[in-house]
Amino acid sequence: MIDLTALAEFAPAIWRGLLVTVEICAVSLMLGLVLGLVVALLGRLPFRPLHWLIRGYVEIWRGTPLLLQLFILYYGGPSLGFTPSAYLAGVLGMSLYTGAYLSEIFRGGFDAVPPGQIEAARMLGFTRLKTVRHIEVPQMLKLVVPPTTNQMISIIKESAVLSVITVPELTLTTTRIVSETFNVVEPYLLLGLAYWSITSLVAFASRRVERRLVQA
Amino acid sequence: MDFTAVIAQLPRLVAGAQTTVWLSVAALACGAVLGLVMCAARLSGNIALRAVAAGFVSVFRGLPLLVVLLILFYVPPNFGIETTPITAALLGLTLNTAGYQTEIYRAGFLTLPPGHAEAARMLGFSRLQIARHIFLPQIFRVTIPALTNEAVDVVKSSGLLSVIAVTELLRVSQQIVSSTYRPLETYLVCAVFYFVLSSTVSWTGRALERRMSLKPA
Amino acid sequence: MSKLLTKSLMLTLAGLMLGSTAARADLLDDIKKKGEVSVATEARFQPFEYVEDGKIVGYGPDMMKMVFEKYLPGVKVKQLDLPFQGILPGLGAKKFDVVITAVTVTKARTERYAFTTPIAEATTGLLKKAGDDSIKVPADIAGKPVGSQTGAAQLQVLKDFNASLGGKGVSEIKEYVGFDEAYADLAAGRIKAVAQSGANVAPLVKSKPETFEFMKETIGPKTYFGWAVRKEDDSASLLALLNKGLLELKASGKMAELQTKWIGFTYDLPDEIGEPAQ
Repeated sequence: MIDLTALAEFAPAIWRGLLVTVEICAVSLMLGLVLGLVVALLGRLPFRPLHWLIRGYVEIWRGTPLLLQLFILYYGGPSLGFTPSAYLAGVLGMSLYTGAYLSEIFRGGFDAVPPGQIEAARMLGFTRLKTVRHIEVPQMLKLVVPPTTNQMISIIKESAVLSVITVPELTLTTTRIVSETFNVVEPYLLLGLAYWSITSLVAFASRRVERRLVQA
Repeated sequence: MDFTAVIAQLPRLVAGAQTTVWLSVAALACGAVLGLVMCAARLSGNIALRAVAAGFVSVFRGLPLLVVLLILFYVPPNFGIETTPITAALLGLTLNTAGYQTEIYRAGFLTLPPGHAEAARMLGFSRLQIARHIFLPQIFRVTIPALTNEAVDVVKSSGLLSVIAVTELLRVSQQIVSSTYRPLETYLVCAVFYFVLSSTVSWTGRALERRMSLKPA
Repeated sequence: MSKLLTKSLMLTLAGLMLGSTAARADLLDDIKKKGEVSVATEARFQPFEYVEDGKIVGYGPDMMKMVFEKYLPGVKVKQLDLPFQGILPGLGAKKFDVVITAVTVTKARTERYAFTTPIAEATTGLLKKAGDDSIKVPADIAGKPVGSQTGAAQLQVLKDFNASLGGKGVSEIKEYVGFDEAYADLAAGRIKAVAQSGANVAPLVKSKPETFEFMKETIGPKTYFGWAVRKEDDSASLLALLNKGLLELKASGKMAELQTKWIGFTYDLPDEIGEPAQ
């Protein structure tokens, strides 16, 4: 039933799509990580309007599908004078989406750092900034590794919707093969295998990081 | 921007949202049953059962829902199995959420103090009774926040069902775009619909969490 | 006596033949037996098939209703709306019985699927932004980004046309999941032209004349739209039924009437396409 020669024929194109997916995900996840951390830290400042702003950002970005966010950014941007390329819109949209999820995870992580440790650091003469940098962030990071990697895996999978804004990633490449060759079975199975490989690799890597952080 | 054409189509968007809601609710419920079964398998003493459950979780958390749906919709007929769009949709959403729910329940189970089960056994409870009266209510209570997030994810990802001929909220929006040529306005309104749905889910989750909290009121 | 014998023999033979036809599956028989035909449509293709007030309407659905009411009375139509990329592969995978959506008949497609008599002309042209003076003839797209729909015949025409421009081709060919996104990107200015059939852009240009303009000069060979079934023998009787119904609509002038109603002009269509040029 499964045609192996067909598989071999599609593999190179699917590989190229895979590289695009990996590249765009790597960049946006890193940017999203930084954004999430910044938002979580800003949320700790005693300034009310900032809290509302952050709440609004998190609720809206987590409450609507990524597909619609990308669509509105890419096709709606030009009417506001902002015309990003498909790649830029993709990276921007995915980073904002990732940032919203991760900021919530980091917020939970900060809340879980025992207050005694912070007090102790302050008594030892650490400045506020130094306490954040040397005590709070490292402690928090240890706690948030598992939920963060879970979230990243989810977002890698969701990146399939980048196809609606013409980013030639894995799913779009496969869809193109399907509509040109009229073959469904082999390309879609290969597509599944490709995603499963990426997500399994990330899951494996995260377990290694987790173990090292716990030992540290 | 001109929303008049889209506003005129609001009843259709509401109908699409209804499809989104019933499919999400059905998938979440079926996923809860399957997830609990898989969780029990993952925690059982039987190696084969544990392996099956671990494989299940790895596959359905590792595959994008879109890919699962495409495979369920297009591949079975090649082997002589018929699937309608709704069955493929329901099956795909269920398997996807069950993969996540298995892990949520497992994490919840691991937080339970072992003393409870022992105490119940000493009181003469059977294993099934322990699972039903001791474990389940407690697991449910500690996993509400995670389950709420999962429910929001299911509602949002149900938009992918549009690809396999299910006319839910997103497909209705696409259809409206094709006759009104107002993509931006339509998708903004569609996003508002999703936002209302997911906010309702989060709000309900938080209310449940408060009600079931053990802290004195 | 001998007459009776012959008669009973013939009856038996007839019975055997009936039996053998029933054994060789026939899709049309199955449809009649089940009382249901499943139809695939991409309802994002104005004026051929699109959704209005929750119903799939257009030139295609109107003709489908007429043909089915006459030749498949009482049979329920289960119409599925899905993205174009899934339409032909889904037909091949037996997800539905027939594709009733305007599909451009091409050489590659006729190798895998069987098509009805043409229902409209599909020849590709270029949609550009209204008042864009930098594109006066199709060849002016050289050096500019252009787009079309993934998997569409018009995309292939665009690629061939681009190749015919020699060294000075377009700067980029962007592929969209749906034509609506390509129109939106043309309006946004990211691409300068969309390759599409004239019939499809007619309602778009009519509704937004200040934004879009369709070029008179077409590109690529003359092509036609048709409906599709599987090429296997089991679909032959269904194809014959559709052809009969459509040709009758054409002969009675009903088809031309519907073309005027939905598309705005009429076509002079051949009964058979023969070998597609592309």
